[in-house]
Amino acid sequence: MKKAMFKDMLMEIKNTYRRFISILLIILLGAGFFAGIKAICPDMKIAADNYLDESDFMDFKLLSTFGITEEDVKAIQKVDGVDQVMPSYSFDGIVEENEKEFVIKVMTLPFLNEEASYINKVELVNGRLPEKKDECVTEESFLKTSNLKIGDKLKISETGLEDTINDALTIKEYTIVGTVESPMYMTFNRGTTTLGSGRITAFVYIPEDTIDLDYYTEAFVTMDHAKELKCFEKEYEKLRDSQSEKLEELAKIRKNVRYDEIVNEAKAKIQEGQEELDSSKKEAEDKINDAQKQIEDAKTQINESEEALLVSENTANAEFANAQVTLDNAWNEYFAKENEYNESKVQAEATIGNVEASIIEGKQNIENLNSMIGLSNATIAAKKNAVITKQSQIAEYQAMLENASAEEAESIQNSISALENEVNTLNTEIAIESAKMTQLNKTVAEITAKINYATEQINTSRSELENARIMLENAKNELNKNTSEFANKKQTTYAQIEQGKQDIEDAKVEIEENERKLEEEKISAQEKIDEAQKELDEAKEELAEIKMPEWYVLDREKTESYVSYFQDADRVGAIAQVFPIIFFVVAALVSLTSMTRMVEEQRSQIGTLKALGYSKMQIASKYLLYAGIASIVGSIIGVMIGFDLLPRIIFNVYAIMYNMPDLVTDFHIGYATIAVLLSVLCTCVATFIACIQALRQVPAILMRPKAPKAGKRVFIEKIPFIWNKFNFSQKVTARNILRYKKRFFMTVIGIGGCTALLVAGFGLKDSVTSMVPLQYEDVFHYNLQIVYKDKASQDDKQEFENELVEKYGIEEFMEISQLAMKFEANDVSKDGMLIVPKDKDMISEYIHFRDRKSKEEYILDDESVIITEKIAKMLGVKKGDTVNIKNSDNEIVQVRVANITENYIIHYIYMSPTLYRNLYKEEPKYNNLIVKAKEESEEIQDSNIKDILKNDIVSSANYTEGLSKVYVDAMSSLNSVVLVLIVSAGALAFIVLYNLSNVNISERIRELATIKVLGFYDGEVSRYVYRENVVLTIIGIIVGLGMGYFLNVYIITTCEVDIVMFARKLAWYSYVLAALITIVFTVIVNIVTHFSLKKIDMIESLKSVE
Amino acid sequence: MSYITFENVTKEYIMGEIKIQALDKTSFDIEKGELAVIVGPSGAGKTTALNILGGMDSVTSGKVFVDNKDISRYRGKKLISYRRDDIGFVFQFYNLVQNLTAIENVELATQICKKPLDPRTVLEKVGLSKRIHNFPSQLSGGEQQRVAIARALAKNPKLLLCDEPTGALDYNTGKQILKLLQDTCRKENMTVIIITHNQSITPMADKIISFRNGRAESIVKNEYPTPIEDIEW
Repeated sequence: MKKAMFKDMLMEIKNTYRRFISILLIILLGAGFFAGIKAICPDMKIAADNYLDESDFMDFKLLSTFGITEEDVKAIQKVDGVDQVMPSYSFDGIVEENEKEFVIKVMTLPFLNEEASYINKVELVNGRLPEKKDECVTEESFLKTSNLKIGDKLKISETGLEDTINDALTIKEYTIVGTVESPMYMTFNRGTTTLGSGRITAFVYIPEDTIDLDYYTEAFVTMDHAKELKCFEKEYEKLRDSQSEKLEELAKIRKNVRYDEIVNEAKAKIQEGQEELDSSKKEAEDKINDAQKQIEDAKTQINESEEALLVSENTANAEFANAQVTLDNAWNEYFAKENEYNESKVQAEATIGNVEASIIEGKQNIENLNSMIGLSNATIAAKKNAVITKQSQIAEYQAMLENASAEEAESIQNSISALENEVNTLNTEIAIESAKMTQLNKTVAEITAKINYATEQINTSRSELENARIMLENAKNELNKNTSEFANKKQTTYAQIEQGKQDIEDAKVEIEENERKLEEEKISAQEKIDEAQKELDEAKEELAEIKMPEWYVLDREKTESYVSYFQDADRVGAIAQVFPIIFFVVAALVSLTSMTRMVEEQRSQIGTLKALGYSKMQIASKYLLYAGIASIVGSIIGVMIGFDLLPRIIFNVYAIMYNMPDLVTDFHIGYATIAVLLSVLCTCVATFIACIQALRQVPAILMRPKAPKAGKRVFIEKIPFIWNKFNFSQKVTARNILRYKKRFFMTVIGIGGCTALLVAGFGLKDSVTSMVPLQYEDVFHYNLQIVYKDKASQDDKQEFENELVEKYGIEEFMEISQLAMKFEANDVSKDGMLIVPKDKDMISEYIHFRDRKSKEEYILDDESVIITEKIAKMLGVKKGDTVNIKNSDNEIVQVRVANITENYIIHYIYMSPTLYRNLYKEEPKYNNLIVKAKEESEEIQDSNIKDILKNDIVSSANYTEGLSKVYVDAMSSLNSVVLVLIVSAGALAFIVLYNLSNVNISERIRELATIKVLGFYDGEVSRYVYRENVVLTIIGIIVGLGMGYFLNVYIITTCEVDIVMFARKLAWYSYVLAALITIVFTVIVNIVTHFSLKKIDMIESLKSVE
Repeated sequence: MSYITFENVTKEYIMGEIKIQALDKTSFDIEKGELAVIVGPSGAGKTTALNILGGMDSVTSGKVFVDNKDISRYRGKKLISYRRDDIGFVFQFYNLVQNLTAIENVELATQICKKPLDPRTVLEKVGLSKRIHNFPSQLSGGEQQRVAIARALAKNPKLLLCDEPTGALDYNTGKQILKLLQDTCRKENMTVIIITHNQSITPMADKIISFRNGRAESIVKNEYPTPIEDIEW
């Protein structure tokens, strides 16, 4: 290109910057959208791959029906290509908290610190990892749903484990010490289980040491060199498949080893059991025999003692008879002696009386004599006194004599001599008296001697009598004693005999009792033995039935969350296929109209250049470069923004559902190149088309003003009944619209694309939100579902159901059996629920079976099943086809599909109880109760649920309203997708309409100036232009509504996750809203246009045509 | 007062830093029913005067009276109404809407007027009764200009302003158009103002206003205008 032309081109850009910008913007939008949407899928995948590599995510999970032993682990480690092996446990459990029941997935962790690397390494979010056996970690969201906090206790109340493993779980209560994220659960889908509600709410990691078992439930394996590969690419799949084969080989060997081990173990156990049984049998027999013998001995002994007792009784009888005779004789003898004694006693008493009389007489005499003696004594005493007196007088006189005069001495001497005489006389008299008294005393003594003798005699006879009496008395006493002794002895003896008899009777009773007990024991011993025998037999049978253990080598594709994540990414990728098309088509049209206009404006310049001898290509290069620069700049900016912005927005939407570190947006050189090339191609092809016509002309024609595009009658004019009804302006509009075809298509496609994006966006929201009411109001007519615990018996259920009637006035309910199964057909396997209603005729009151489109109603029969729509589609089955139903024991039954019924959330197969019995040879286990409860406020519902949950047999109870909320919440993230759609739709509409206005104004500036000169008011001028915009917009909207419908179907089917079917329903208001928003965009652009129109200078009308 | 009066009208344009004086205190009158021709070389200000008179431009100073109304004070909607109801404009390049037939182009004007004439009658008057349903591209230049005149006339304006109406036409066609204008003036008593740089057609006018350097240099009243058929150039 010549320098001058290049400069000219730059000036052109400067002068027509609006045009340049409009091309640049639409390219920016198209390329940005293309690159951004294309990048989401690889960005998401790379983010996942990085995350999985960082957390050493397993490449394989190995499971065995008999568990995995240390030896197995060693053997796996030795397999070629295996990098690491980590054995582990996992099981389902139930946690009850605040009267709510949560089903959780329990996994184990070795005691390791945060930095340690191990397979499926968890990432700590809060708190710390377990350091003690009774500590656990869980996930953040579970703390929210359960209202638990770090530091709280979590009790695993029930597990889905076999008894042996359940017993090995030594600790059931754990302290939550932290929260983690696990690579096992990238998405929020936690899977299903047979426990409780069947839906796992959360995962919990407990220390591995808590489980005391000699084998593990599973082993995680990583491959050598796997990290270097991207896990979603073919190379990884190749490596994985070859490694999988090697592991399968090992599995074949290991399962035989394990089988032998288990069989031998079982055999040894049976042997042991048999021995034990035999010995205990013998022991029991011995015991019974002993007891029998003891009873016999006791009987003999009793007989003996009975005889002995009889003998001793007889002896006693005889002895007592003899003793009685002797005793009687003794008594007789005694009575005789007594008589004898009485006689002699009378005689002796008479004699004694006589003697006593003489004694009394003698005593009288003595008294008399004594009184006489007394008298004499008195006389003697008196005279002695007189002597004493006289002697004293003499003494006195003698005293006087000494001192007395002689005269007196004489008198005194005289008196003394007189007195001495008198004393002599008195002494003589005393002597006489004394003799007399002696005589008297002598007499008294004699008499006294006599009395004494008599008294002695009496005493003698008395004592003799007394002795006799005493002897008699003694004899009597002796006899009495003997008699009573005899009586006692007799009594004692007979009492003893009686006792003996009683004892014997008792002993007899006891023996009878023992004999009865022995009988009983014999029976029970036999029963026990029989039972043990039976158990042993059963164990033997079981041994015979021990199957070869199954090993499962599961690769990542069997991890639900892993698969669903990559599916989500692919789904976004699928959307990426269709969206950018709209933008690129519009970009091409915008370029075409703009460039066509530009070329037309520069006809004369082109002509001049041509005349100057420039080649066609040289001339065209200016326009190609103009468009090229616009598209390159636009696409590069677009790609830069797109790569960063769109993956971020979309990923943020999905981030609500994923446990993932932040997205790293990548620059994908491939997509960038495609985007830029596509953009340049779009604009340059359009430019070339615009140029080609002008370049073909000779300069002379080019330099003349181009004949304005001829007015033409349009086809509508040939339909008079329409055309004639048009007023003048409408005719003008109709002609104009049909005259400029490029503009028409650009606008219709642009506006149509805008409307279609909006319809698709709102439709997506509609489909998702209406899915929930459709499922829980139209399809399911019950509004309360109660899950029974496994242990609930039929009686318990009956009682509970009666209570429902009485307490809550609930009349309508039905027991159903709900089991998680795998449904398989055409090599596709999907999870779903098998529902067996107790009453197949009434079930249609609770669940509506009908065709979604024709609304034809179906009923459940006994030969075939009804299957829900989405699963039927996924399995590729139609009416009359067969589906395999596989339970958790891998038991498969085959059923024929009678009908396909409308359903939106989760997949179901409905089966009549009769068919179930025929297929499974057992009664269905009705573990659920579906209830038509009254409409209640949320508070009442909550309190009812609380109340119902108090019942011991109820595991969970949910109003469908609550369930539907869960889904609505989960889907609310789609709002951002809708927002992205609205914004991009708006951008599209603005750019197209802006460009349309620009082209309109620049191309028709003369016409517009003219009508201004004619005196059109500003409003009228605008309307003159708008009318076309409005009509084009309306046509665009109508086309867009149609396009939107298909776009919506496409988006819905690609966005849909496996577990749900979005409603294939677009609400009328979504169409209305889409149309209204498009109109709003149009109005805004038209307002802007109005001011541009106002600025048009009328002088333009006077200028000559270029 | 005359039907149209320009009174010391000055018009200045500012182009960047340069001030251009298009009209410089110019004054002239035109009477009702007159056919006035404004002549002068390019840049003399004749088109500016016409634009001002046609309500397409405003004055910098001075006054313009049309039918006793000071239109130089009109702004916005009032100015548009003036154009709409009082002015018929004939362009050098006809300025027909290509997408409309002859009659539709006339209707484009009549639909906005208070008391329009019947488009069909007007087209018959300008001699296009047989081509009323043709698109401009199907008409010759003269025929197109006739449509343009019909469009201007159909509005039933107070004055008819013509900017080089023959500029894009050949001699004979130009003559026919000028004849049409002259006839219209005479028969309808229409005030017609023609701008031209062609001095030779001035004899057809009732009044000849010559512009030079933004001023009406001479205003000559022609008592005996020559019929256009008699003018040769």
